[in-house]
Amino acid sequence: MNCSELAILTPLYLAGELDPKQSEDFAEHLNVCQTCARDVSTEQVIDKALRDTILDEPIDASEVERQVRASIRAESRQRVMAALAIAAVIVMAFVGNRVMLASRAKVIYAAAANDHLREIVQKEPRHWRTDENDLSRLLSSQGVSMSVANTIAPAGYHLAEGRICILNGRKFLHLVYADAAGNVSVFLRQQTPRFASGGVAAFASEHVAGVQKDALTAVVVSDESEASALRFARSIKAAL
Amino acid sequence: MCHAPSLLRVARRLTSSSAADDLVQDCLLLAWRGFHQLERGTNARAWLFRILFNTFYGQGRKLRRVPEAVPLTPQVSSIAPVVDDSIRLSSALDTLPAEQRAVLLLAAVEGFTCNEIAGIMSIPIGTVMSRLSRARQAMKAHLSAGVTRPRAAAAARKTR
Repeated sequence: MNCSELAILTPLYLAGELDPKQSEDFAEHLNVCQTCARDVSTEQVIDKALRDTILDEPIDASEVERQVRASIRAESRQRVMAALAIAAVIVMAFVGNRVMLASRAKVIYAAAANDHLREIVQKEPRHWRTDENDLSRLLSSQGVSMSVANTIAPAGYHLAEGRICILNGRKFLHLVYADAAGNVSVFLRQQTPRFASGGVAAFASEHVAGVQKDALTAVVVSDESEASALRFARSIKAAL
Repeated sequence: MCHAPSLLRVARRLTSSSAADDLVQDCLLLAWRGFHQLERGTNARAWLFRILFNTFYGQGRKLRRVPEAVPLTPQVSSIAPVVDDSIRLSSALDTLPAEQRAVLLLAAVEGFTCNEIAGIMSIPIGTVMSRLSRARQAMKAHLSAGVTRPRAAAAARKTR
């Protein structure tokens, strides 16, 4: 190592950053070169004197720290307020969505009850599919298999007839299940808009209950009790 | 907050006193906001100084206070009594170009390595080494010649 190389490496030496080989070469040169040894020693003295001088200067950071703490408190409050505002928006959106879904369910239930009353109770003339083959084709056209249609039949009921009807502007598959005492209407639709399912409502003498599973919606209309309508709907959901 | 005095000490040598207070406040606030970015095992003190310099440069400030060039030849034998004079040492520091003053403060006073200073100031380590060498040479020159320029330093500080 010569004097120029030593001068370049001196900052690393003073910071203790030389690798072992460089340190050895550095020390070797200092042993043989008085000029470099004096220069390095002087720099060490200056560094130490500078450190002592600067560190002796009084520094009062209390006002800065106070200001920073005040800023942090204010910003923390703002963050809490922002989080609360976001939470409030989420809650409102959730509640709004539930209200909208409930409202949509009410409209569909009312339309289903009205359809059932006119077509089944009052027996307004409609073109019903009663033949098994016709029914099978009708079901297939709506993405429902005959086995599913039979599986969802309320206990003691059998599939009697079916047709396409419109509830609240949307096409539904209207299936009528019969037993000796009466009829139960089941309205099925694939990819229906979501509504608050699981509820039950009364319209005139009929009780309506709805369920949704995956993309399939089923609305049951029965002149039996609310509990029966709900039980029919739940059994359909379990069977789907 | 325990590093606030160190940050303030360096900041006050970079810029005016009131601007230094603002700079350190901004630095600590940014550090609080970005605390989650501090990885475990990182030198928090070096990280804070890096934020200080980033903030300083980010605010469009430049290290200034470059004094008039004073070509002096060091006379090492005369340094010993001078380094005991804190006023002359401090004044000699103030006459350094700001870039040199910054690296010398970080190295000699704050005890950072050249590698850490390179990270703090976002400059190559070779630049740190050359600035340190020049800073120490200039200090030697000023102290050995007994030349201090408090008026020039004060005037330069006002321009920051």
